[in-house]
Amino acid sequence: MDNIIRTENLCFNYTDDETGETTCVLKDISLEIKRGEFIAVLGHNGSGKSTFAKHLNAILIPTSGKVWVGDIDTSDEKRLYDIRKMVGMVFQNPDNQMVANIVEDDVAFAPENLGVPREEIRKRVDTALAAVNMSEFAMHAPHMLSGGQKQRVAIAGVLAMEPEIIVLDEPTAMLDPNGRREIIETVKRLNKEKNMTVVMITHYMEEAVEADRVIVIDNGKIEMDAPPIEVFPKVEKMKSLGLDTPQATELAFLLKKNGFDIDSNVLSVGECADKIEQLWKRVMTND
Amino acid sequence: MLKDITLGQYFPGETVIHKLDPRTKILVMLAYIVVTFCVKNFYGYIALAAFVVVCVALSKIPPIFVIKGLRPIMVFIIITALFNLFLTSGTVVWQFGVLKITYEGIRFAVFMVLRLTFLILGTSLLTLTTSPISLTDGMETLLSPFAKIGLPAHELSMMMSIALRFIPTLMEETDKIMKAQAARGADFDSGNILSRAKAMIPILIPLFISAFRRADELATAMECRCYGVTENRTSLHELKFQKRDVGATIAFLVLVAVVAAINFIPSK
Amino acid sequence: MIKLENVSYTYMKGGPFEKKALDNISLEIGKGEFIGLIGHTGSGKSTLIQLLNGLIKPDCGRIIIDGTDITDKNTKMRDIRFKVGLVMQYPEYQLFEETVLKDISFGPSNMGLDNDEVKHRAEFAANLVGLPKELLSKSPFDLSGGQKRRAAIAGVLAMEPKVLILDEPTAGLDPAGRDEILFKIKDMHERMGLTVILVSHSMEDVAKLADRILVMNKGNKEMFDIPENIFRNADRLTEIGLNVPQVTKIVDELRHRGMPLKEGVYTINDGLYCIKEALSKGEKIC
Repeated sequence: MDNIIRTENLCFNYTDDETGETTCVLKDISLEIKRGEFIAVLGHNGSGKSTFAKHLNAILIPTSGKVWVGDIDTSDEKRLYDIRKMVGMVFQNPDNQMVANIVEDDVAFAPENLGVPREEIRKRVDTALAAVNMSEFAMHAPHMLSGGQKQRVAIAGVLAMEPEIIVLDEPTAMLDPNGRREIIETVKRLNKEKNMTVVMITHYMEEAVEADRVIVIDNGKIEMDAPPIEVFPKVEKMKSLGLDTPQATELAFLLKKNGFDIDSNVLSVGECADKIEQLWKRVMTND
Repeated sequence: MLKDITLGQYFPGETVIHKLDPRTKILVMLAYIVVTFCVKNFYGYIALAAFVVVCVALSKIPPIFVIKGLRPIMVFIIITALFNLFLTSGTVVWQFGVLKITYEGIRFAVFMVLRLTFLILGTSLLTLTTSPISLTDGMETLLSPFAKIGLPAHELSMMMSIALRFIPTLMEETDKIMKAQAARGADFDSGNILSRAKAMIPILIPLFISAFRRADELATAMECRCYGVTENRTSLHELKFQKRDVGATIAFLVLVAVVAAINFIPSK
Repeated sequence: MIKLENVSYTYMKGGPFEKKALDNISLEIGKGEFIGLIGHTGSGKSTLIQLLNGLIKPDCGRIIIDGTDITDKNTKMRDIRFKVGLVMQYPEYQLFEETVLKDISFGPSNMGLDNDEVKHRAEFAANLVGLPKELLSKSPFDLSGGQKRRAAIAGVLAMEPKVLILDEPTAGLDPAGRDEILFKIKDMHERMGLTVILVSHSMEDVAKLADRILVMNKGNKEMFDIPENIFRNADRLTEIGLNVPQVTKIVDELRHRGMPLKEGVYTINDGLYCIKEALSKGEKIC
């Protein structure tokens, strides 16, 4: 697999217009994201995770260091729209990213901007809506939809650009559990079936568990970068970073801490139950 | 269908009038306004009335809905009529002190009332039968030739469509903020005008701040979707003139001819 | 403290979108109770709390708060709102004053209290939610997200209500911010003897704090019981689209596989304790 995103010593400083104070939001971030990967970026509020996301499609340009999308350097202003086309961005508030008052018109917005011919727009809109299971709502007004549905339309709006990467900045923060489930299912499906590269910023660990790889950002630096199964069992470290771990992982971890011989590398209810059952059977046969 | 948001006064339907190309409707509307001002005698108004009645009947909109459109402008019509009635000089019919009514005054006043009434009836028929979206589409296409001389046709229609998109959102938000402030004991319905205006501050400030925040986020989201990348924007929708548009235009031209002919008939 | 008798409410009555939001609800909440209110979007929970606060009026039925029938025509709604403090979702969007202190003072000054008392209450409320004094003279718009949220909660607390209703007070916060707010709410509940109704999507959060949990479904009162009994019905909760804490699922699953574990486990510590017991003794203890 080839790398589709590469950052090299990415630093970003933010200067307050009023006070003139400069804060270092991102420090020396170097990483590579492979084509088709599903990455979750975790971190508490103010950790710099959203700032990082904004560097991936040149909303922000590094103060120092480099970000490459494909083979394009994001600081190359002439290629700005090539980058935007390649990296679709979905934001937290679905209401604030829709321009049209009919779903299909909104999905058509990006291809219209790109000057795509009409028949092609039609095709793209239909494909994008189908990809997020919203075809039947094509003619609805956005304000009549649920939060999860709106956010799926926002994803379709980005898909219509035919991007290679989707970056989602806390797409579920404003949604109820049903809406959250809809989004995470949609994102997973896009990743699996269409081999879309996904970078999802979130602070719900149950969403991060679904990713191939979790990047934990704290205080502008990468604290951890590994598959979920290696990240979440570090329960104490996660807590110290102000993050949650799945209860299943925590339970196994606590049992281990209490002196039981259990493999605490679990993420799901099923895995945790299996491990505890094995332990219990061992205890029973020893008796 | 939900596509037709119940905004403004759009009355959804599938009739010939609804299906006309928005450009046809806008152009006919503009010409119709001119015609209402060109009518010189009562027969002309009968012709206009016939035209409007036929349109309303074709659109299947309950007439009461169309007439309702007059309500907000009633005061204006009455004031205009009164001015004409009392301030036109000519043959005096009735006099009381400085107040006098002349024959010409009555004639002008009645004309004014008819003129404004038909103006409003006609224009509200446009907004009643055309969804805001196709109205915007139509306007953009009609104005696009003027883009060459610097008229921001696309920008104007984009602004309109965003405004339409956000009105329900902001209305919902207003309701939420009002409830939140009411829960803190804000009182919106008592006191004089001044204190009522003051009571709006706790609603307006959060509303403005939120609107600006939304605008900011929307701008970023639009940029991320390549807004402004090319001059040659395409569109999902295609406006096409059809047979019925030709028909409508001919029908309207007939009205113009009739009014013109009637104008030569002496009015007494 | 709160008593509902056969309360129903319909949205957009008579219109094409008519929707029954609450259907014949009766319940009682005691003074000083901590109630968790759970239900998915559209279950009627928002309607319920707006009724309690007098923001909307029921179609029928009676609502009695602290001895006053608020459905009575002669009851002044504003008095009820001072008695029942409602913190709406994303309450930081209601901030509007020049300074944090002035904003927190908005509620109490609407009550017609004198300036000293208003200031005293506002400072007290700010302290309760853990806003440092030096922030009070700042503009509320310069605060961080979590601070704004706390300032907005203080704005309701400063009215010194007897009942405090919070609608999703942790929505959009990160885990640390969420835990902090929940801790403050628990603290207020204990220190002030407040009756608290906490609306949440998160079973985990509610389970940790509530004395009793009210589960709403399609405008009906689905369950209203102590947490242990609620989580005995994990299957039913899942059926109506609610999330059950993972630990409840794990313990239930292990019980099905034959481990001697009790029903209705809903906290990690409880789960840990009971699994530990089962493992060390190998017999049913808990």
